[in-house]
Amino acid sequence: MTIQSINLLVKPTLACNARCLYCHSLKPTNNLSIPLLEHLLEKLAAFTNGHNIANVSMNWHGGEPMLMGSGFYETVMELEKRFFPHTQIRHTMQSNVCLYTGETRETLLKLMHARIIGACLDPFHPTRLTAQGTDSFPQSLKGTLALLRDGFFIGMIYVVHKKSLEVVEDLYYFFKNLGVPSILFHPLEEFGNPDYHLTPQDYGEFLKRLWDVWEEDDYEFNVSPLAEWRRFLRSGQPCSSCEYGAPSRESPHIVVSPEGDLYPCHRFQDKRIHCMGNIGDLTFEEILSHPWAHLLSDSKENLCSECAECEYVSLCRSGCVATHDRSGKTFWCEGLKKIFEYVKSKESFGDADVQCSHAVPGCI
Amino acid sequence: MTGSHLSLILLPTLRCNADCEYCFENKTSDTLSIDRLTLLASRFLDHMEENDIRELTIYWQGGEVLTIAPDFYMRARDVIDREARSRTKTVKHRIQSNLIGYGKKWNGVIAEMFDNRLGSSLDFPNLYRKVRGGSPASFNRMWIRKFREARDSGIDVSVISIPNEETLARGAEAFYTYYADEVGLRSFQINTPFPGGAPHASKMRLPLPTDRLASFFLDLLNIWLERGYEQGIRIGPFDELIDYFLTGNPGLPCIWHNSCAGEFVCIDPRGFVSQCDCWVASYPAFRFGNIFEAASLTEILRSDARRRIKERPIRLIQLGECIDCTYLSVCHGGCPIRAYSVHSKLEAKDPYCETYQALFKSLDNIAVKIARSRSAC
Amino acid sequence: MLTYNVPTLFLDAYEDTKLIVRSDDVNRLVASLSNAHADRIVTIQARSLAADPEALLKAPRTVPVDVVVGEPGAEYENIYRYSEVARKHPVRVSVRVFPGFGKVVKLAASLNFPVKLEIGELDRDLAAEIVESLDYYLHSSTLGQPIEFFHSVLLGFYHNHPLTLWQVMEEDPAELRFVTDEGKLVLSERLAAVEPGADPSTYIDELRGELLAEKGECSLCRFFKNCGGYFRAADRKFRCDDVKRIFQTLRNAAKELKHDYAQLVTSEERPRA
Repeated sequence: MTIQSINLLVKPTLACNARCLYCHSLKPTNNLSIPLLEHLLEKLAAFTNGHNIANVSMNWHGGEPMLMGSGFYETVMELEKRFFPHTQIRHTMQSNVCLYTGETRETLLKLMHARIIGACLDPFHPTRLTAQGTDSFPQSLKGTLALLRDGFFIGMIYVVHKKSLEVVEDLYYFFKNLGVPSILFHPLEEFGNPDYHLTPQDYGEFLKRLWDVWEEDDYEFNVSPLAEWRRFLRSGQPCSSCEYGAPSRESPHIVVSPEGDLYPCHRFQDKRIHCMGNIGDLTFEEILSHPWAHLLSDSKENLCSECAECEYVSLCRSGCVATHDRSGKTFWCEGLKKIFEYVKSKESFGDADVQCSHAVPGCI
Repeated sequence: MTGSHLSLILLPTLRCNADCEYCFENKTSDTLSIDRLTLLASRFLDHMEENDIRELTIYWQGGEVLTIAPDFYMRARDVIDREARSRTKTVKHRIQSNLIGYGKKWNGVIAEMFDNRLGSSLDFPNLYRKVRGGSPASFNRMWIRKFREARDSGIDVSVISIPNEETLARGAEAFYTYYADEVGLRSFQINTPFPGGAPHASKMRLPLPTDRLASFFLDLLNIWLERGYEQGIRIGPFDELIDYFLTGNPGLPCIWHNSCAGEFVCIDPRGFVSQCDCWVASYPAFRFGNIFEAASLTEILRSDARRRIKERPIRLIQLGECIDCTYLSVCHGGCPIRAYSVHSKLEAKDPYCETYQALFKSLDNIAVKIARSRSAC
Repeated sequence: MLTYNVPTLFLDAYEDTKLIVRSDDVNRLVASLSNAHADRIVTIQARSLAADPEALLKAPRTVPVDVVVGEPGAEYENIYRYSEVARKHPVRVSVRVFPGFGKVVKLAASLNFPVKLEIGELDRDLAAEIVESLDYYLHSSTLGQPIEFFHSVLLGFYHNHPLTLWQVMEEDPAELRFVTDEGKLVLSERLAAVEPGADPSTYIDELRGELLAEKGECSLCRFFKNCGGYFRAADRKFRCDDVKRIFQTLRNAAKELKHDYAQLVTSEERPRA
C-alpha cells in the first residue's frame, strides 16, 4: 500500500480559555514540550522522506491551540525548516478564534500559508462561555471577522443542541451572512446542561427543517452534512467526510496528545481509549502498523449487519465511529434515518453502487 | 449636430416631370449648379469638421432628380468626394426618383454613385400620381415598364407606397398581391399620408381613419408573415419593427426617431435649409436659413425654427402626451410634419398614434413568437 | 486609486485621486475638462436640467456624463436634450426616488440611457412606484439598458455571485468618497451625516460586523449579502419590508431566467430529425 499523504492532529494543550457546555476535551494537562515537538517532527520527517510522502498536514487542535502563543508556533516553523527543508507542511487549526489578535495573529499568518482554519460559534444560545462564564460570542465573532479579512477559508462548525430547533432558519442565514464559505452542523451526544440535550429524533427533526430552509435558498450555502448527501443522491459521488464516508489507509490520520500519546481519532483521545502508544517510543512505521491505526477505515469496511443491510448505508456507513454503540450503529441512527427518508421523498435515490471515497478527517 | 453620422436630404432641383396631385412640395424650376454645389458641399463638410461628424449619407431627392443630366451627378460626386477626402470624412449616396426619366443612360451613374440602388414610389391603387395630361393608370403602366427595365439592368429598386381610402377599401390581400406578385417588388415601404403643402382635394380627407388603417396594416402584416417574410420580401416598417423588438436595433423609420432634427437636415437648390423635404419647399416659416447666405451651417442650425422641431418631444411630455405610452421608446410622439399638417401645430402627437400603437403591439407579440420558434428549432 | 466626487470649485484641491466633477452649470463642467487635472476626471455630473447641454458637444474629449434628476418639477423632460449629447458622450441618468420618479425612469429608458435609482427615505407610496419601475425593468420589451440597482442585483442572483448595494450604487468608501459643496470629505452624499471613522475604507466592513454582532434583522436577512446593510447605514430604523419584496422579486426573476435558459440549452442539445 502506498501512502499518499499523512495528517497529524496535534493537541499542544488541553487548556482552554472557553468553557463550552458540551466540551469533553478540557482536562488538566501539561502542554506539548519543545523537546517532544522536536522529536515528533524529526520522526515525521524520517517517515515522510523514507516513503516519499509530499503531502503532510498538521491540524492544531486542543483545548485552545492559540493559548500556546506566538512563540510556540515560531518554534514550529523553525523546526519545520530544519526537518522539512524540501517540503512545506500544510498547517491548519481548530480554534475558538477569540485569541486571534496581535502577535498570535501575525505568527499564524506566517505559519498557516494555506489560510484554512476551523472555528465554532453559537450565535443565539450561551453554550460557548468564556472561562469567566460570559458568552464568548462577541470575541469569537470578532476573531472570525478578522480571519475573513485576512483571507482565511473558515470551516465553521455549529454544535447542534435541543434549543437549535427553535432557530433553524436564523442559524442558516446568520452563518450565510457571516460570509464563511461553509458550515457544519454537528451533533454531540452529551451536554453539560440537560436543557440542551439533543436526542437522535431531535437531530433528525433539526436536519429536516434545515433541509427545507436550504432548499428554499436554492442550496446556495455549503451546508454539511446535507451537501454531501445531496451530492451522492444526485450524482453518486460518495460521501467524503470521515463520519459518512470512509477514511483511506493511503491517507492516515493520527492524533497526538500534549504528552505525545497517539490515537486514531481525537474523540478517542477525549475519552482516553484506543491509545496506540507514545511518539517517544514508536516510529511512524510502527504506529501505522498498530491494529488501531486504521480503526476508522476498518470500522467503515466491516459494518455491523444492521448497518450493512440498511437501505441508507451509502449515505451513512454507520456514522461517526466514536458514536457507535455496542451493536456498531451510531447513536444518531434514528435521527439520520428520519432525514434520509425525508430527503428520499424529495430527491431521486439512484441505485449507485457506492465506492466509498477516502474521507477527510476534520470534525471537531 | 454631432456624433458619427449625418443624413443630408439634398434637393438638386425642384423641377419635376410628374404632376402628382397630393405632392407636398411647391415646385419651381430652380436647379443647383456645380459651382453652388461646391460651395454647399464645402460649407456642410466644414460643419461636419467643426462638430466631429465622421460619416455622411446624402439622399438625392427632388422635385425629380432624373430631370438633371447624369453627368451632373458624376461631377457632383467628384466635388463632394474631394471635399470629404480633404477632411477625412466618408460619404454615401442614395437616390429617390419617380423613374419617369429613367433609361439605360442612367445605369452607369446609378451603379457607380448609388451602389446600384434606387428608391421610388408606387401607389395601389394609384389615384393621384400622374404626368401632366396623363392618367394614374398610364402612369403606373409606364412606371412598371421603367421598373422592370431598371431591375433587368441589375438595379435594386425599393418603393414607397402611400395608401389612400381606396387602398383600405380594396384591402391588404389585393395590396400585397399587386406589389409582390404582379409587379414583382421585393422591397416596399408604406408611409402614412399627410396633407402637407398646398391644399388640394386629394388631401381633404387626410389623415386616413386610424382604426381602418390599423386593420389594414395588421391584415397586411399577417399576409406578409405567411407569404413573404421567410421568402425575403421586405415591407417597411414591418421588418424594421420586428428587428427592433427582437434585437433592439434602432434602425426605425425617421418618423419614430426621438429627434429627427438631430440626425437629418435638408437643403434645396436655392440653399434653403430645413428639417426634411416635407418642410423645405412648402413651409418657409420653418426654414432654418440659407446656406449660401449664412456664415456657416452650424450657425443656421441654431435657428429658432430648428429648435422648435428639436424640442417638440419635450413639449409633448410637458403636455402630458406620450409619457404613459408603452411604446414611448419606439415612437416619441411620431412625425412633426404629420402633426403640423393635420393639427396646425408642432406640439401635438402624430395623428396616426392609434395606428402605430396597434402596429407596435402586434409586432411586439410577433417578435416574441419568432424568437420562441427560433429557439425551439 | 480612490475616486472623489467634487464640485468644480474644488477640482484642484485633490491630487492622486480620480475625479467625478459635478455642477449645475454645464459650461463649468466643460471648462473642467480643459483644466490641468482633467486627465483624472472619469465622469462629469450634471446636477441641473435647466440649461441646454449643448456646450458638452464642444467638450475637448469624450467623457461619461451622469445626469442627476434630483426632485419633482425638475423639468425632467429636458432629458431629451441629452440624446444629442449621447452621440459624443456616454450618458446615464441618476434619478432620486421621489413621488413621480417613475416618469423620469421611463423617459430616460426610452432614450436608451442607463438609469440609476437613488433611494433615500422610503414610504409605502414610493415603494409602490419602485415596484412599478421594477415591473417595467423586468417586463418591458423595449428596454435596452440597465436600471440599477435592479440590474446588478438580478445578475448577482442569476450568477450566485452577488455584489452588495454599496458597490452597485457606487458608494463603497473603499473606492469612492464625496466632497460636499462646503468642501467637507464624507463617505457619500447620502451618508454625509455619518461619521466616517479613522479609516473610511473599512466603514462597510465595520458596519457589517456591527450588524452581525447585533444579531438583529440584518444578520438574519436572506438578502444581507446583496444589501450589506446599505439602507440601515443612514437610518438604523429603516423599514426593510418593501426592499425585501423587491429583492425577492428579483430573485424569483433570476430563478425563472435560469430555468428558461436551462430549458433552451436542453432543447438545443436534443437530437434533430
